[in-house]
Amino acid sequence: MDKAITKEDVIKIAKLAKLELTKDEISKYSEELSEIIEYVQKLNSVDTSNLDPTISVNGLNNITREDQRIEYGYDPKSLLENVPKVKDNFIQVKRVIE
Amino acid sequence: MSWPKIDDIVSAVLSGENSALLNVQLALDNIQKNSQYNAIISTLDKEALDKANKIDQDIKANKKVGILAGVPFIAKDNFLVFDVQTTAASNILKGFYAPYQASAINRLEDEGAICVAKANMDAFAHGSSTENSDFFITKNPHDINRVAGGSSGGSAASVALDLVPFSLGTDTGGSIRQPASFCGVVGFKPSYGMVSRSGVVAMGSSLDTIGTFTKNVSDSKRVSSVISGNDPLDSTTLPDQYRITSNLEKIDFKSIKVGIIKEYLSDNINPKVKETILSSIAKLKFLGVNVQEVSIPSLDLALAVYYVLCPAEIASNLSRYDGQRFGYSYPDAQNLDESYLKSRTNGFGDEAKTRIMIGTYVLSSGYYDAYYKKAQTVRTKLINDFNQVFNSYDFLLGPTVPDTAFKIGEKSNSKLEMYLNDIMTVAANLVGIPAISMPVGMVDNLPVGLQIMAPITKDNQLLDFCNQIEDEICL
Repeated sequence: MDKAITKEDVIKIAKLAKLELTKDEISKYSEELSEIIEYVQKLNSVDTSNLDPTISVNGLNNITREDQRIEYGYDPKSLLENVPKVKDNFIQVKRVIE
Repeated sequence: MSWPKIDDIVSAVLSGENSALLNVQLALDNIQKNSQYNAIISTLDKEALDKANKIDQDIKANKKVGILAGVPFIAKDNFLVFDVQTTAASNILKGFYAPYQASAINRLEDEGAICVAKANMDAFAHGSSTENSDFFITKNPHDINRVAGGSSGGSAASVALDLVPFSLGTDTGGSIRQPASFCGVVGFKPSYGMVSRSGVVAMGSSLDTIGTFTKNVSDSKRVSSVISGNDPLDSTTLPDQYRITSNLEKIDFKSIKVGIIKEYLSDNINPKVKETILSSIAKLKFLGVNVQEVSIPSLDLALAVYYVLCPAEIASNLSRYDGQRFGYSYPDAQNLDESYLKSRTNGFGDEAKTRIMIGTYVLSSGYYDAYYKKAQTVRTKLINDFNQVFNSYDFLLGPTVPDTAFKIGEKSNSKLEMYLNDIMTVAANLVGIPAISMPVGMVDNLPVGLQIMAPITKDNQLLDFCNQIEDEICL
């Protein structure tokens, strides 16, 4: 029987997830993902025709606040200390459009 | 040496009989002496000693100090602590120093508690054994060849080893209750939204909760009262009317109805664990509590719902690790896409990648309705079924885990077999309800945890009830 998740599927998912996989990893994830996806198939047998999907478990929805500036007292330099590349207090990234 | 109750620790610090400094020194000393258990990733020696000195000085100067003055604690390494390395036990966050701090840590510090160390965990909290830490495996304090459980294994072991009086963990599918059960301590997961998650590394945002490990229920209530409450920095936090209080209310056992979850006592659990749980139930009946068996057939679906929703939320939460703003960044990338690909590929461990792959699959075009939406709808069914049972019962009860702590490496062959460890804990996260694991017995020299759940926002009632039964049923 074909696996629920083929090697081609794995390659496509990895591309979407921005991960590079080795040949061995592609086989391994095909096995593991298939096992898990086959397990969760049992949800298909449940009749949910009269139910809505859960959006919030504790009843809170659309919590808003005043659209105003809040002063937390952080120095922007300290917030940028973990950034790999900084230029003039901005985060520097590779060119987006070649 | 074991720590006294938190109230007694604070009284001794306030009276001058003991000091915050001695407590912190003792905690740091304990950590060093128990390093073979690999419970700790990093210690905060200087920061903690400075804070302790400040508290002792304030007490001498008759300044007001908090209700946890001089109490040392350990936080799981997914809590941001100001200027301290926070890795979530992942290589990708190695060397990340938090520029701000979790609201829970702020609240504890405001009351005088002192963070002395950061605890080991499964990387990004993905796991049930702490074997998925990118650094090392935490050992079980009762048997060094066995796992401490996970993902908050380091936090659970820390309290079991008496390194500190309490520790913080996170629970997305059982990550507080399962290691508490394996290590023989009290692990409490509050209602969804009871404790702010601001400043905690996100896993599954509709499931993540923050809670405590302690030696007893009253300590858990004391600490939970400090960290709970509304926080403008986390819009999912509940209004303050539901906040956990530090005082313990007396419960009349005759007015309480407890449901024993039939599905959790099936033949699939270790018979000796079942026997231990049944003996706790017998003790509750003896105390006058009305105990009846209940059935929640949709519980059989909980794990499948969880293993769709949680990876989906993980995949989207972990998309922020792209090598551009923080964390590991591949140094030799020629273009932006290569920078993303290599930073993520080199930075993430195997389990994170597995979950990102599952999550990306179930959220991808053409599969979203079949998996994610379907799972959210079955989740509604589960919530409705729990609500219905809670119409007739105050609390629900069963084992925390089907078995005791397993051997290191024993379950590493199959991901699915490892995931089945969470079968009794995930429902509380899916439904958002508070749940606690209490140590009620030993099987072959390993602890067994009893799990008790309450309706959402009934955290105070749950803790009051557990406090009152603790002396009768706990070790």
